[in-house]
Amino acid sequence: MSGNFERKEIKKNWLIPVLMAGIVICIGVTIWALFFRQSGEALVPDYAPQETEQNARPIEGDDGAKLDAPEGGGAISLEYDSHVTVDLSDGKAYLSYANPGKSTQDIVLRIEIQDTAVIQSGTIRPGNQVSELELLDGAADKLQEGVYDAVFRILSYDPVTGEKAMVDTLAEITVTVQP
Amino acid sequence: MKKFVSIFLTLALVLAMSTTAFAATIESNPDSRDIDVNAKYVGGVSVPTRYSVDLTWGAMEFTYTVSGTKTWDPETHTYTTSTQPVWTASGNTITVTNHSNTDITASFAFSALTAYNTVTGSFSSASLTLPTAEGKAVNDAVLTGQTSFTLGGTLASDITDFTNVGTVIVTIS
Repeated sequence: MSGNFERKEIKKNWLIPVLMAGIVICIGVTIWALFFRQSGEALVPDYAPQETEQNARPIEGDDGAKLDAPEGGGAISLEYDSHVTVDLSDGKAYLSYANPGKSTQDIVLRIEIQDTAVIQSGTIRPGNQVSELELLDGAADKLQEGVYDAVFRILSYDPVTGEKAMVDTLAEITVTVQP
Repeated sequence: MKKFVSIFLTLALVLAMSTTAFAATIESNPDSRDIDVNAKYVGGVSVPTRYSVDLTWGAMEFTYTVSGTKTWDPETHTYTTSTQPVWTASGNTITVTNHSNTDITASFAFSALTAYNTVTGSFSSASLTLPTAEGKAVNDAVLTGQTSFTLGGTLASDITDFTNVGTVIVTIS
């Protein structure tokens, strides 16, 4: 009788530390997921995002006359400054990029540093330009103060079907990161 | 009345007469000094590089045709195949025009999707160097270059509709 009681006591003594350890692990995983987990790489969309880039502004004086694109093909015009500044304090990139009205394609602009996307815009329609874009979630944690060789990756999309074109354009730029 | 008109006309003639006047002779003042005034131009207008590039491409449709004969061999009960695969292209030209205030180089590459890694791509010109548009007419032919893209390799026989097999990447530097 007393042996049975002792076994129950031993079981109780063993169960409490295991439950405590489980709770500590759960809390640890929750803290890591909330504060320390690195967000995944932004994927290239196969169809243009529904949302127009909120920082896009119309280009003044753009008459919208289109380039002659071969039948079934496409045409884009890209106008940009090759120097981009990232301000870590407000999580924004300051740049000059335009998709002039003569383009026949909507575009999505990505900034990639060492093959990692740090910025990806919404859809920028022909006749619009951007001067600032928000960093992707988690991108600020990957960047340090300094100057980086980087690229604009310009993804082109059919404005009617939203399908991605077979041609991507890369433009070499430098990105200066400020604290 | 005549007197009044005569006086008026006479006054008009007198007032309209020109008088020769001579400027006073400038006499040097012993206390005066000549001070030279010097000037020079300093260029303070910055000219940032502005890239402006037009890019056009065709339909980029390619057909892989396999023609030839399959001869039945009664001795082995198998076919002897003699085929000649050919790629034909439609809309495979890429045109680049430089409107920047600097020279540019456009380089071309093809990246096949993983599912179609037996397909290869090549360009008639792997890169184009285009001069600055400074001092040139907007439609100057030297600002435009073209390359033709061709697919190679093989394509599975079950791909009977036009299917995206990869991406052409144009790099501007």
